[in-house]
Amino acid sequence: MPQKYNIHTKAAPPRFYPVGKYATIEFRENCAGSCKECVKKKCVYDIFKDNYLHMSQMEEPEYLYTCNSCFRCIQECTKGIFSRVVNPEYREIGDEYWTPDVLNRTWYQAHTGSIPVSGAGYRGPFAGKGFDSMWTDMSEIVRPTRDGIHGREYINTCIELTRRPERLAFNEDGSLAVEVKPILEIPLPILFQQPDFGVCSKNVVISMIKAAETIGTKIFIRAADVYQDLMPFGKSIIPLVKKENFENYPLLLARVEMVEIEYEPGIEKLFDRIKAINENLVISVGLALRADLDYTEICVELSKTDIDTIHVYADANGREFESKSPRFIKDMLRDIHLGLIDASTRQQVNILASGGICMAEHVNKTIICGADGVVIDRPLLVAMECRLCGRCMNDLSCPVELEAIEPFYGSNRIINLMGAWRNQILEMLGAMGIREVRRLRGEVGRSMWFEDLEKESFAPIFGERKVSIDVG
Amino acid sequence: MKIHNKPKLTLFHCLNSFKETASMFDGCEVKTVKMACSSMTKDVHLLRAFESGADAVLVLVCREKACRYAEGSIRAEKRVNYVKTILDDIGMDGKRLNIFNTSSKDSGSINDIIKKTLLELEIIGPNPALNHFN
Repeated sequence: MPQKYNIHTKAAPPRFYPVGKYATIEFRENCAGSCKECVKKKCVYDIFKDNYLHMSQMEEPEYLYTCNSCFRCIQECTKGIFSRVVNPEYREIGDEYWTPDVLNRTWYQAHTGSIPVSGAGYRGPFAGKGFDSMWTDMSEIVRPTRDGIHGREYINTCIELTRRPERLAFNEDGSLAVEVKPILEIPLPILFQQPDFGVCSKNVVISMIKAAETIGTKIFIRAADVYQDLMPFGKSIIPLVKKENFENYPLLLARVEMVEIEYEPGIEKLFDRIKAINENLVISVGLALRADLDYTEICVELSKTDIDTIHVYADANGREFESKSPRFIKDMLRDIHLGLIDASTRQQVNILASGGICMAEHVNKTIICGADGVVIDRPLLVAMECRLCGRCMNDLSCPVELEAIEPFYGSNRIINLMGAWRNQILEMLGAMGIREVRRLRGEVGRSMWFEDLEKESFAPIFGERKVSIDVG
Repeated sequence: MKIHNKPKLTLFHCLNSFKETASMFDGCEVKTVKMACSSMTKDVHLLRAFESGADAVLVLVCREKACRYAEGSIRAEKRVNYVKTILDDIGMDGKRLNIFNTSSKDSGSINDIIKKTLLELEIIGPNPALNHFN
């Protein structure tokens, strides 16, 4: 029996205190003193005891915000001197898309490798912008059973990056009459990318590549940044090249399995020259989703050429580039996917999507919208404790000294995050009654969209929505 | 003897007592530590600030009866007074540590507080603990 794919996680405690959310304060002066019922001694997380230790070592006050917000001390203190507070620094990290909760939960997953559980159910709004206006349908009471998905009931998360033949044809003797290229398969529908900002020191890049190598995925890196030390990781690297510079890297292209070339009109004329360097090279074309481009038409035209994968990019928040009222990646992907279906080329090419993927659920939602897999960059930095504070962009020091991260530790954190994400992907697939991630592609029947439900319920009364929920 | 050109201030403040603006800190290096409530400022945090090289430490708390947690500013004041006595005892001069009742809306008075602290530092000199470490 072949070995089942699994991501082995190992706890990697943070090097710096993560920006915690909650703390407890003693806000009154009437503590009973040596009270026998003192809640500080009863804290199940030993927060108060730990705080004394931190105080004795005269640490910076970050340790104060490690409370788990269970409310026990607040409720049980006989004098009622405690109150729960939210860390003011916590409210300021990230931005409207990469919210403090996203960052905090990503740190937790990178630390423990476990699925984050709030313990009190979902407390957010009913619907929101972007992926929050889309729900997955988990009402299937079918196999695989929920308790078996991490063991005996195997759910396949493999995707292919190579082009598939339109159809198979056979000779009279039963041999194949069409050329079938070797299949390049990765065991997870997630690829990595070198982030376009942040501290990208040698140690940071090696951490990402090592993690990609360990879990069997690949990482997109600018060809100019693939220096000699990274050559041994060639099989895990997808160099990013351009029309004007791809011929400068013959040694690199000979060593890697896949390459990505930036889209330009007429780019398809270069594919033969790329294949001349390495005939087995899998070719991806990187296409930025700009408002001034007819990206659906471009993808259809590209799918008719000899490429394997189309990699579409939205911005870090999943929005269209260069638009005053940008569309969200889920709508853009849907158009591209349906455009390829109309052109009857969807089965031949693969689509990878970048931008706005910051949680495990976004992977499944992106695939439902029509992608084969996703490409992530910022979550890799966040896994290595990045706070997205942007200090590095102003040449200021990194608060978590990312540049000096030890590659073994950094890769461990990324592997933990991917382990937690994969478990969540399996949970969702299991609940949707799907045994294979490839079957989820374009499977909108397993999703509900706020726009559709709103239109169905309220449009007959109030008329249709005039401005998209994603705008503003 | 001066160890660094600009005086270093560490500023502990409650969320509601101070709003940082860049123009406030001309002529000095300031590290701000934002607290959910000033009562979270423990004595060790104040001493730690001096150990880290601060020439003066300021604690900004809400005005009386304006504290969101009722007695938070009173608790902070007690701690500051305690640490002042420690500083006096060890010869570091308790004047390096001060507590003020402020409001985030009143940036003018906070500017005055910083200016006053810088003037006082010219008299009492830099953090002597740093000379000791050197």
